Amino acid sequence: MEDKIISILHDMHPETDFSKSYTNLVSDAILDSFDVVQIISELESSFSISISALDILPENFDSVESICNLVKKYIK
Amino acid sequence: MKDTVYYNQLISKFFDTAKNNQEKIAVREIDREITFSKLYCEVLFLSKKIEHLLKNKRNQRIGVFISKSIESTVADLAILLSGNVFVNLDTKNPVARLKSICDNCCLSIVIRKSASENVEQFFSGDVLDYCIDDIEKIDPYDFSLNNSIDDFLNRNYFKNVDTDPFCIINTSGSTGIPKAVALTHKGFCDFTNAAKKSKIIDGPEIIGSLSPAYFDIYVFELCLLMDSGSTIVIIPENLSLFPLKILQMLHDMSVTYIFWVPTIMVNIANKDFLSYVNLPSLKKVWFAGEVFPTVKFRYWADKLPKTQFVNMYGPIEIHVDCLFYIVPHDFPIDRPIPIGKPFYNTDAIILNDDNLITEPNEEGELCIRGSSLALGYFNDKKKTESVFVQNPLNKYYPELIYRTGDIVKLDGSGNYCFVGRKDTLVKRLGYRIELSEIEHVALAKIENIKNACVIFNEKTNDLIMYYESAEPIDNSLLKKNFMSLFPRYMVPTKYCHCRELLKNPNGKIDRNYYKNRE
Repeated sequence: MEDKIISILHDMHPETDFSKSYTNLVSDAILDSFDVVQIISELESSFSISISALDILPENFDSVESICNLVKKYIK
Repeated sequence: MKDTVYYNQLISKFFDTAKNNQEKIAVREIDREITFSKLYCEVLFLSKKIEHLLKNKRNQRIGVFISKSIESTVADLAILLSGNVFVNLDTKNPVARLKSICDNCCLSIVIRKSASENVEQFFSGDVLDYCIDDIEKIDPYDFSLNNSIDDFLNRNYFKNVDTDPFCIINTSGSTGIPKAVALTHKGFCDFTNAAKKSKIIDGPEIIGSLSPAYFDIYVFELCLLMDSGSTIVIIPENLSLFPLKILQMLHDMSVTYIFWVPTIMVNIANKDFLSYVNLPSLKKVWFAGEVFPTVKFRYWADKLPKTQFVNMYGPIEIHVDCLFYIVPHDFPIDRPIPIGKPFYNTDAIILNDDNLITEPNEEGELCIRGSSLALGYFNDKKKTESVFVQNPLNKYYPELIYRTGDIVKLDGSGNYCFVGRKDTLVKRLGYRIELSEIEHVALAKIENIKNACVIFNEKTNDLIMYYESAEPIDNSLLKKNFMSLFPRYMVPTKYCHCRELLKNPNGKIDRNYYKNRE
């Protein structure tokens, strides 16, 4: 799952090495508004989930780890 | 008597507005705010610095390299007060693009927040550092000093008139250099008055400001601040990724008015964000910049039954907008929302290919007449003359119209309806993009690309580049290259290699073929 998420991020930002443990994807403005919408839609189609509005918050997108945790929450 | 005072510039009205609203908040950020009297004080202070640096020269272009904040607002107003023209820069633009904008606009000064910002890599003139360390410490301006702003505006040998430029807004240009639209004091006064006359805006508003400072929507918000004492609530850029946070902020700050692009409103509708936040204060919602799908509009209308919704239409070249349509809450879901009727003091004519007024139901190019026309494209006579042209219906005296390039037609009730574009301009995520600019720069700057055709897919929001080269080029390499040349919204999202691009019989790339493949 982590590899898939890294590959989604890498497709958007080939200049950034997401395998390193970035923890401030949002606060350091590595991701912008287009990215977040796209990440959500790719996560939803790759993992067949539907992310609730209440989970679309900065803290759930700040690192590969937090995105992983978010997805896990939906895959039962 | 007050209402009869005549202003030829909104900045002179700002003096009275500030005087009448001294303790009111003028600009709010998430964790700080500034009152009108303190804002006025800062504007005066900075404009004196600018005058000193320019030795009282006027109508000079001054870049503001500060992202939207209290400081950028002070800078814009101070530039106006000093009789000069503000050019708000996108601080996230690649250096090459910033340099091209600075050169093209012949900037005299760039204002930045601190010396840590490396403005020198794209600009070689005077740089002014401006930052407020502590708003608490600002001494509010003492309006009892009896200085009228007119003394300030008139004391130089060279007086500003309302046809002087107010600001320059840079937008995508088909030849690879951004087009610099020169807008006037008169145009913004005219639009502000027209909006009031149409009764879609009245008293002071609390504005939930999401538009970047380098967009015309923000410039209009600034006009509302100067004109009516409206408060600008600055929504931080990184919040804009998270609708729940934005809506919470609108709620907490009792925002009454928003003027947004449909992209964000569609995102909010898609995830049903409005179910989680109540917005009882929000009275007016304006949207512009692209087509708002009716089904998404209906979501907003159902959630906010007491709010007025206005679809605004207009290219930057006519000062904000020239047509508007107040959308009824029960607008039929299967019909596109019209762009409406012209504002007060604006005439919108539809011309066919023979430059004649179209018949009812006939499509044609929308052309605009009136005080709202921009001066043209700064430093680009040729481009200006191609779209700001003599009114073909009038052969007796000079009269310009602006050819929008938008194809429209009238519906049964006299509303204008958008049909499409004459050229390759598209709207992506609310931004205006000339597809040919991307193609032009790709050929000039990226090795091995011999030909390119960029297509926009409205359904998926993808920008697809078909390119011609001997061997396929690595996608991530292409993307990296484009990211160093363009702002994010212009970077193609998909790349397709072709040995040779398909041409139509007259030798041009067959854009329609590629368009239809999507």
